[in-house]
Amino acid sequence: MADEAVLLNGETIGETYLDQAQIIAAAAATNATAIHPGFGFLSERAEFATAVKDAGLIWIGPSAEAIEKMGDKMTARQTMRAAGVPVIPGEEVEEDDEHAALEALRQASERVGYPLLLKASSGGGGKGMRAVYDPAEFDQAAAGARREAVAAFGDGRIYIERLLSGSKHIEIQVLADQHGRTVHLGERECSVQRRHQKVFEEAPGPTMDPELREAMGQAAVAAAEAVDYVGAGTVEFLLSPTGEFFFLEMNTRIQVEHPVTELVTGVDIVREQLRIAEGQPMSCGPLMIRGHAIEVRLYAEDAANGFLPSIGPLAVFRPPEGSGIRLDTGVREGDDVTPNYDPMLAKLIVWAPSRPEALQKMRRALDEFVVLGTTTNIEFLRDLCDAEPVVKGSTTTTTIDDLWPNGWNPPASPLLEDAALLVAAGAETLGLHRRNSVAPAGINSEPANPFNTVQRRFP
Amino acid sequence: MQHTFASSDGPVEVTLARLGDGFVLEGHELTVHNRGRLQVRLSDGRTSLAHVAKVGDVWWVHLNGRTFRWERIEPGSSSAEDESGLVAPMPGRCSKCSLPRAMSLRRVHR
Repeated sequence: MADEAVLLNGETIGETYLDQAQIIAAAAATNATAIHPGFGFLSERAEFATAVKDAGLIWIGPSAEAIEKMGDKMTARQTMRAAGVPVIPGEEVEEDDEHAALEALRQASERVGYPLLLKASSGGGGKGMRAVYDPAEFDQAAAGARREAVAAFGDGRIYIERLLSGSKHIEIQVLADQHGRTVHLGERECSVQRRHQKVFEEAPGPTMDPELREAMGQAAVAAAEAVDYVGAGTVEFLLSPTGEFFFLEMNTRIQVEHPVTELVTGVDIVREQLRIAEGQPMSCGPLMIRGHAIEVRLYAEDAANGFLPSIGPLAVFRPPEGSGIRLDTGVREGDDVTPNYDPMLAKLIVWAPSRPEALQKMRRALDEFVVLGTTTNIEFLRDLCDAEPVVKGSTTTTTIDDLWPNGWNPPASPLLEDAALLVAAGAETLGLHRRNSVAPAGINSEPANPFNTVQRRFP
Repeated sequence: MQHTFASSDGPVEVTLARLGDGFVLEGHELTVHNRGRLQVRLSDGRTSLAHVAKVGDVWWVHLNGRTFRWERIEPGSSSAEDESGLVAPMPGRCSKCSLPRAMSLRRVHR
């Protein structure tokens, strides 16, 4: 918990959270001795890691060299191949000239085979990525991927991977300290994705067994050791239906979905990051997995309209509470959702002794999560919890498209719709819009109590 | 207690009947408890708490894990389908236009 906050000057992301000098100046002004980059923004910028160290501060993360090696996907694939970590069959093309690059990619596509994926070497978040199923589509897709990569990353290098359909996205959490110890904390399954972004994550993977966990864990440790990794990182793999697994990429920072690992292993990953950055040995012992944890990402978006981001006021923001429920958020009731930042409002995480119990707890928690004033994906996530592949644990990276090929729509419920009409008409008659319809939790008509705000989390 | 709301099928007229401190509609009952707590007894016998917020003319209602939006049409106004909030260009007459010194304005519409 921060005991001091500094307002960054500026209006845009570039002027605030991406302004390296301003962040380092804020650290100096508050006598901070270290910088934790979180996730997103500058967390995987090697030059920021260098700038922090050059300013005499501790960088809570891996070295700039490790970030660079893993950040460039083509270099990462080559490094992993050399370290004996299985990579997805494919080819890297190192050509600066656009015409020569497209020709080399086309020739490589014939060797790799279809269907295939085109990926930007500097890519992430689905940018510069194209799936190609037919050779006739290749030239247009390659030109489009290259153009998008240049626009997004200033680097048009593209590589090809075979498209492995029916695969699961399994990632391994690793920790490495400065005393030469590297361990893994088991896996997370994050197969359920929309627009190449995860929305439903869980640990342990529902189809994993101890042997496969150990094999993937050792491959992840080898990947980290190959770049002399220090700190917390995540090695992502595709797990094919045949049980083969292939390196996808390594995220050289803490992941959004790290809480599910924390809940099943009992390891506080951020605490370990701080210990490691300070030069202490990590404190976690042998891997022990207990129970099951699920995380969903609550987005301000219209799931029924192609998951388009939505904006508006958070007129009511009332998360669920109770045993085994954790909420990581940076918003409060009364805030406005603007188009300027990522539309993720919160991460809702549940833990229970078994997967069916965790899934049931998530259903209940989503039913009780009230957000009014801005459209969110809560009902989509709730619907997902009842989908057969999710219930059975047989999800793949195409589950959402397979379930709703024509887009998702909320299940019809004329009964509830009529009842909601009654509530709206009743509330209008009573004039409830002029005051809170229900007093906020923990607040009543008594004088303002400062303890009501003690547990607030600020952005 | 009559209200009109917009829907995809056109305006919906709602006439509420009183039931004690609450209201009844289509077999559903709405009860208002202390401090504005809203409880709904559905026509199938289930009960649920409701949460509401009004943003502009739209009532946001959370009920039984679902969120619904009902846009209220003010009495006397034309239907929401006709207007649906602001329209562009805004109908009206410009009575005054302020400009910084050294800037000029050219009229392109009458």
